[in-house]
Amino acid sequence: MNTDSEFRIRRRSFLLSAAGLALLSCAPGATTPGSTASAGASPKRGGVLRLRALSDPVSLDLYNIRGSSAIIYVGAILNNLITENPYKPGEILPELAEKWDISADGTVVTFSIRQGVQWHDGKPFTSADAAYNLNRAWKPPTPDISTNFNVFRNVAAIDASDPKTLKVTLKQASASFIPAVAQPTVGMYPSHITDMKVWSDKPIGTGPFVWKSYVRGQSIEYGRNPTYWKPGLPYLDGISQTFVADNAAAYGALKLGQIDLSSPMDTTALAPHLSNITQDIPGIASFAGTGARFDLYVNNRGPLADKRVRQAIHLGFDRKAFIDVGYSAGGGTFPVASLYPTDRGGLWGLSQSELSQMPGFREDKTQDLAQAKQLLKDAGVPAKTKLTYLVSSFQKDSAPAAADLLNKIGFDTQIVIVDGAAATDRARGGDYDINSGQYPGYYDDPASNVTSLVASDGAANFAKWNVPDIDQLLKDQDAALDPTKRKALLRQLQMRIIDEAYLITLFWTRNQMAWQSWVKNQPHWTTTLGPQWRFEQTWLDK
Amino acid sequence: MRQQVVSRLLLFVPTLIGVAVLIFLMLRVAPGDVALSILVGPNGQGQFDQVRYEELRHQLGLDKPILLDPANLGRGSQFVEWASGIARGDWGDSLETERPVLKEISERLPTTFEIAFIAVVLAMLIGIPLGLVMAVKQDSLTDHVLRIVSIAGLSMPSFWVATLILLALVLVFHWLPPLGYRQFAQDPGTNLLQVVWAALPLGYLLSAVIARMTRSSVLDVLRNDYIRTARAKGLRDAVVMSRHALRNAFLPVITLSGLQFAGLMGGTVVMETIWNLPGLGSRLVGAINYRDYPMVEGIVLVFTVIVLLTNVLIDLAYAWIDPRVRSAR
Repeated sequence: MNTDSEFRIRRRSFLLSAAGLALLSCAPGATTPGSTASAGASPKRGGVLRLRALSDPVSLDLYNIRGSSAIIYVGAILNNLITENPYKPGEILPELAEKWDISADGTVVTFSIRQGVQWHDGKPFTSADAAYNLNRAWKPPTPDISTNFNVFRNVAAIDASDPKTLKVTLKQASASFIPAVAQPTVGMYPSHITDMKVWSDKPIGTGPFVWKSYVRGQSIEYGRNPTYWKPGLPYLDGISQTFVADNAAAYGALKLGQIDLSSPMDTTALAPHLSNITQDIPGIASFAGTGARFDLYVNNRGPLADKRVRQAIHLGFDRKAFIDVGYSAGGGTFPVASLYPTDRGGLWGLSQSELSQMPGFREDKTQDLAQAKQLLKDAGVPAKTKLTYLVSSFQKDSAPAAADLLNKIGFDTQIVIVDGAAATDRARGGDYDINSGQYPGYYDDPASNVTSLVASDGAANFAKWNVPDIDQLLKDQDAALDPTKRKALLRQLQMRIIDEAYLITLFWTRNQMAWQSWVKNQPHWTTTLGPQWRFEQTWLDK
Repeated sequence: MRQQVVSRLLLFVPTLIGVAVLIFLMLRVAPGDVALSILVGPNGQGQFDQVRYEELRHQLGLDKPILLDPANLGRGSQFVEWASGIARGDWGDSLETERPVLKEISERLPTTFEIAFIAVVLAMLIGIPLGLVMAVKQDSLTDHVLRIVSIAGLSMPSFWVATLILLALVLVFHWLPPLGYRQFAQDPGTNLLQVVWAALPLGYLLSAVIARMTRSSVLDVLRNDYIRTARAKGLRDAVVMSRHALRNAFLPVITLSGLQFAGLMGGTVVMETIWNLPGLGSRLVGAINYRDYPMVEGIVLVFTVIVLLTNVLIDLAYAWIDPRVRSAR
């Protein structure tokens, strides 16, 4: 898909930094990443892509926690030092860094900065710009809280003394580092405009499109960057991003051809009509990527401190029934373990074909329920033992289903519904037995969506679970620069998480993108905040 | 009359102070805080870190005493800082978007005002004639049919009616209002095309209330002796209705419409969402979820002023319609 032949990757760097395409087993249909069909046709130049976004951006700063969705709005105007190939998950491509080298011990990464690249205001891109951004990811000034905190806390030093190279020293070798730098959340902002309020008034980058105008509550307009450093790109003349908050209204706009491409829509909210959008609107195609992982976090108190009781919940909880009853037709990706399954486009997760045969995950619950009850009996837990099920208000609709399924195992579940921040506050204080939660996967790596929850020093490990071999596995997999070895370690890690059963994964929610038949070569991606927002190779067949 | 208006306006001050204190305290007593919302996201999906949490609380001033600092009375508390800012015209920045609260309110208020205004005008245009017909044709087939129509308006949630309208426009008429909100000043035609669909379901809902109020009010008036006298003098029904009945029957209808307008200022949230209109209602809900204290407090203050002003306008309308009210004052 890449037109620029210079985007070849150094084999060693590739092996060190990514899972590799070989790890992917792509299932047919729109369940794995890819792109909107272009069937070998020559790209056409011109046209304005009409894009639907949900609402105004809260922040345009990717390094500010408020801007965790900012990539949807700034992805088209920025570049990264290195980037994940939007058409091939796991493949890392050079971008503003022409190449990168990793020292033999894996602790020093040297990026060679591409020369001749200019910001949209004409100033040159240098290693100082790269250092400025990596420093923001490493030591974000509060409240600019890095979304990559878990990975960048491993950084020991950043050196940009040579304008053509950027040297990053790590405290220890980390397989998560290069994939993290390649994430859209580590986009390159100009170091000559450090006041983000000033930058946000007239955003500039080095990307394929320039920011033309923004009318709050209405739309953002982008134009082609005439001096884009990638020859011949982008194909589009511009992008018009209109805010349409309501999914039914977006459905109508798609049906009437008022928009070309709709940003991810929560299919749980779209049910029933939009779940069949491809049947309902001729020419429309869609792709269901991941939204967030829905988990049960079990507290380390009372009978739940006994592993057998937690395993009983893992075994007896009917995940399929929970999705069907609690989440209706929008559904979710199931069965899944803590990492996204490889047969759905994930890099590291246990496959669905394997999980579907495993106790706890399999659809037939007869044996699992019997075993769960036996485990409770062995642990001396009397019938109808009271459990507090803590749930954020935005998940309240699914709470009765969860409580009912817990009761079927043998508990008497009391639902406590509080709003999101208050739920976190309560969880932090340990005032719950089971805490339901959705955890967003910014990118497909344990550093993004597992470490915080299961590591003994994890920021979101509110129950203070401390399982030494899980900590060790987390360290070992991060230090494993060989993808095959890392995958094996991550398999062990996932099995241990399943066995300990304090993080019980139920399913991944789905976010659905939809686009008109004339939108060509637009990548669709497993995660909402992936590299699909650059639009540099997207074209319109009109 | 002027004295009445002035005294009502002077009452604004203690009312506003009371509302300000109340909303300030209620927000802070409610569980959860904005530092957590920023840190972990409004849905609690982000990552928590104690050190960053404490830093953020300090930066947002949330570590200061809420109402009064016992060690330093009158200075340094969250309330004193906020109230003195309001008095100076500095309403602070949104904790969510980091934009000035007054700027955000001034951008969004016209949209909500427009929806509410059109909805109430539609409600009056539909509700008053319906109520009149129902009263004049009391207990006839027409009355029964119109009562069913008005009860349907009361029974059907406006968000459902709005969704039906939207689907009908798409599936039957293959048309939708243009995407991308245009302000009235920018493009009046497009603006009305976009706003009227949000006002329509609300107008229908409110028209049902107005129709029923008009019906019962007119029926009450028609039973009075002066109506009988007017008829006995040989006046035509139309004259009796327009000159004697309607003016008296309108007083409760006007009160109701005014209150409906004030209520709609904060009640257009769902319509704003469905029809993609950047109004104040949806901003308020978002701000409450986020615990965006300055934004919630600012919007509630604006709503309070609107409710107070509406009440004054209702009083003025009373005096204009009913000479007895003027002479009594």
